[in-house]
Amino acid sequence: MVISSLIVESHAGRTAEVRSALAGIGGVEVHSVHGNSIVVSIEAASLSISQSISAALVQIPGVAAVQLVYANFEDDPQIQAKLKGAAS
Amino acid sequence: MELTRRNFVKSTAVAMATAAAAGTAVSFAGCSPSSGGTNTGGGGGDSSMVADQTYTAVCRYCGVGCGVLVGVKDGVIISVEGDPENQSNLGALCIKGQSLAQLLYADDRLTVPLIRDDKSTKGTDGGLREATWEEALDLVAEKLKATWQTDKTRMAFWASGQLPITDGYVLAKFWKAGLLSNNIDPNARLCMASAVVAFMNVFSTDEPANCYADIDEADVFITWGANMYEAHPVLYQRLVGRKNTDTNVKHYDLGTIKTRTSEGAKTLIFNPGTDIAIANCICNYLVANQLYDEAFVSDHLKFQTGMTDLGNAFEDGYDGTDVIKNSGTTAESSLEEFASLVAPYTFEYTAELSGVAAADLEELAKLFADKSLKIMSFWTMGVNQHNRGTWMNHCIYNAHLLAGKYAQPGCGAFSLTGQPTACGTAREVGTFSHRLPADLVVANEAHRRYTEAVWDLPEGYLDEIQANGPHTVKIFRDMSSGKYDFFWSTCNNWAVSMPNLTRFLGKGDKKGIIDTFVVVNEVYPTLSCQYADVVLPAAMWVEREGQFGNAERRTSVFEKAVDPPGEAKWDMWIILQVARRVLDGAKIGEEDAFSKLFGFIWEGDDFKADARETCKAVWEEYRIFSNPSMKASVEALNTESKLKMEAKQLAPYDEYLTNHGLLWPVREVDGKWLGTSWRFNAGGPQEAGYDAVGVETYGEAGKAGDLSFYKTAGMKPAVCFRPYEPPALSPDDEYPFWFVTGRLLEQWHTGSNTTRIPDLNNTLPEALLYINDADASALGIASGDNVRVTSQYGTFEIKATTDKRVEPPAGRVFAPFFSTDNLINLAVEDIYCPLSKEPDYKKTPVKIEKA
Repeated sequence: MVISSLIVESHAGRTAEVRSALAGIGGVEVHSVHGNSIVVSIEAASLSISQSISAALVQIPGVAAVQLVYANFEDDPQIQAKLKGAAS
Repeated sequence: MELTRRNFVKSTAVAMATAAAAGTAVSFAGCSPSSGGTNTGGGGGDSSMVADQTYTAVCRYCGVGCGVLVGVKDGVIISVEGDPENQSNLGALCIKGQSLAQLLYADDRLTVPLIRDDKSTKGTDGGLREATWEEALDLVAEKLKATWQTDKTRMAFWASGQLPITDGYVLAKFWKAGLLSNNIDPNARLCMASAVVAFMNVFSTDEPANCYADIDEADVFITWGANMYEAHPVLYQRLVGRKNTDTNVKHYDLGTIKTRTSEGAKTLIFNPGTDIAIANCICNYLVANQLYDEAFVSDHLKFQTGMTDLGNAFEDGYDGTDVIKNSGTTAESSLEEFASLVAPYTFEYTAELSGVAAADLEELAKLFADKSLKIMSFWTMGVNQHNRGTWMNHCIYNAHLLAGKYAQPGCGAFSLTGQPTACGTAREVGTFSHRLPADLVVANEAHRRYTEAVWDLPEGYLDEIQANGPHTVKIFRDMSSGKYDFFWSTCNNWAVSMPNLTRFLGKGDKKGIIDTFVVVNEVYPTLSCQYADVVLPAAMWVEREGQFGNAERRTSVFEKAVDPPGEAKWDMWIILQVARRVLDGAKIGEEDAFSKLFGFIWEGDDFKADARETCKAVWEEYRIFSNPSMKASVEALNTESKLKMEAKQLAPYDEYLTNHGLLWPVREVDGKWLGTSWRFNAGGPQEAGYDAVGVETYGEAGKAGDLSFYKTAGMKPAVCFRPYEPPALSPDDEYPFWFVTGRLLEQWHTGSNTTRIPDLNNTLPEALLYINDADASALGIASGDNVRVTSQYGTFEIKATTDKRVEPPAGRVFAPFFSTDNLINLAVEDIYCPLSKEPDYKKTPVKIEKA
């Protein structure tokens, strides 16, 4: 799985609304809330799908910004193909 | 991925994000290993579960310059992480950062040199054949050398704010000292030139006095013509974070269209071009009511007036007119005269002119009058890409300086950049047609002598280049008129980014681009490659070592992490391979010219050392410019000519790796190299980020705010009155809409990289024309309809939308410029600011018809 962690920053007063919306998105897990900053992880089969999800987070009403902290994409099919190519 | 490893990676990722959110960013054993390409081992788990090596880097995209840690396994990038030790982003990345690895891995990378044998195939996606490096380099060198020896006014290099610093420095040295030519200019002319000219006019030194950390302390944010949400997302996130920690913090968004940056801000939409009137209105309020900072004005400021009624660059001969030759002339003035000149800009008059309510203007002005408030102004292309862009930069400084709100923690005026090293390379190493490295200019004799001393050239050698070279728009205008034989570019995509492409791509009656021998260094096939005679495949980003300098003066190194594909080579290698061929047989004095200039890094047919050592060697020579004590002859000239070159002092190369970037000027204090967060400010010790060393060395202590503007003549920056003058063109019956262009988050600049990253491209797959609901309805246009946009310059088709991502008011439309399919610059005017020569991409009158 492609695994990434992000901080979703909500506009003031809209954190609960944003958290609720995040919880309803497949592949997204809400881990903690620090003020208006919501810590989430995304698990997806590919980097492309992971990025689709993170891009969609920007569109949630009340979201001010989405910041990526870490992304591990060694299981992404394209990266796997490159790794296999490097090994052969 | 096995479950245990998956759990490990996930828990690691979450812990890192939690620490970042809680403001306690830490490095985690086994997942955020030490940098420098070290083998990480597996501090927190099995060593096979982590990257083999982690490298420090800087994001390849915008001017924020976010630090990145790149994880590599078996020569492939498997992870990216915001670098918590890089103070520009403190571990944060935007969604483009997640895709940085994919930047390298799209299928259509250019991996071998390409040559076009038949010029009639230009402008098509065919006609290029594979070649060896030897053949391609020989051909490029032959054409360049022939032009150089025949008529060197007919050659040009178009450089870039994406070219790493050491490569840019080598390029500038080759072009200015090797070829003795100023026919070189960067793409930063299109985005930053107005900011540069204003910095030099006002402060006699380029780049902001403040830093990103000021966001965390400001009470008020003002964005002037800046869509930070889309174009500088990590800084916008920091701004929102500041607002969220204190509900008293205010944000005013001033622009000609409503954007996502407007959300949560008080949005003041003004009529195009009237931002100058608004800034003058603020100044009028301050001086008319004696609400300016008297001590600041008395200690630090002088007043000037400038030339007015400058007209606009409709004709190619505009620069040669007397009005424009004298356009930068200023006269000494006074506070009283300044007050009389801004007096007409009352709230009522400015409201009528700008469309912003008088009460809102008054509210804005009162913020500047409130001495307790810390105000941060940010601006980007709305201010710089402006037919009076330099003037508008001046006007923002006027307001901040009169209010005493500059160069202090949480308080200042900050010009943002759009490229990762527009500051570090385009501006700092001398790739502009009028510049030498480190803010020096070709027209200044003392500056030429200083540069000759650093480069060990005979005295007077650079006198041949004392006249400024052509700026970017002039190069393209002249090329389209058949006045160029050789044109070379790297790290840019001019066939998409230039305005008035109808003319410059030869689609009108001009065909210069077809006849000119065009060389393009590129990583992917772009539209510019379709006009190239030779395409040279370049290594990109972490396929080579390099350095970027971002908008807050932070210089950072990105390490080589993986190998480039195929036969791709780094730009410095390509430039020097051509240089050694072109300069073959040329002499400087009695010495071989190439060896004289580049013998310290090059021997035979390749570099003397590896990339790290080569970069270090180049850096150490470049560093002499800002560390004159490194060379006795240079130090003597610095003293004799009072150049104060340490104002841009840079540190030894390794310090940038150790510190994950440093803000210049960097000072050596007790054996440690310390950056400067607030230039000209001696309000605290150097260790805390103040410019203590600079002020002590060159400035005056005890002045208002503990500031001393030691680079400026008399230590007094000028408040220069600049009047409102209307846009070059305004809508009329034939072309009734203002057309505004810009950028959106997922697609960066001309899209040559981001369109190849599936998700970014899927999220924003095509450029759309954003149009007001009422205007769309009146034109019978529904969202999704194809429309034709036409100006007096050209025409293009695009799909219209009434989506609210961008909300133009009635009579204005917006589109991003990334799409080759909807080449919007076919219709954009090539009118430019008379002082900076930067084009105005924001105010082209157009008509819109259903296609």
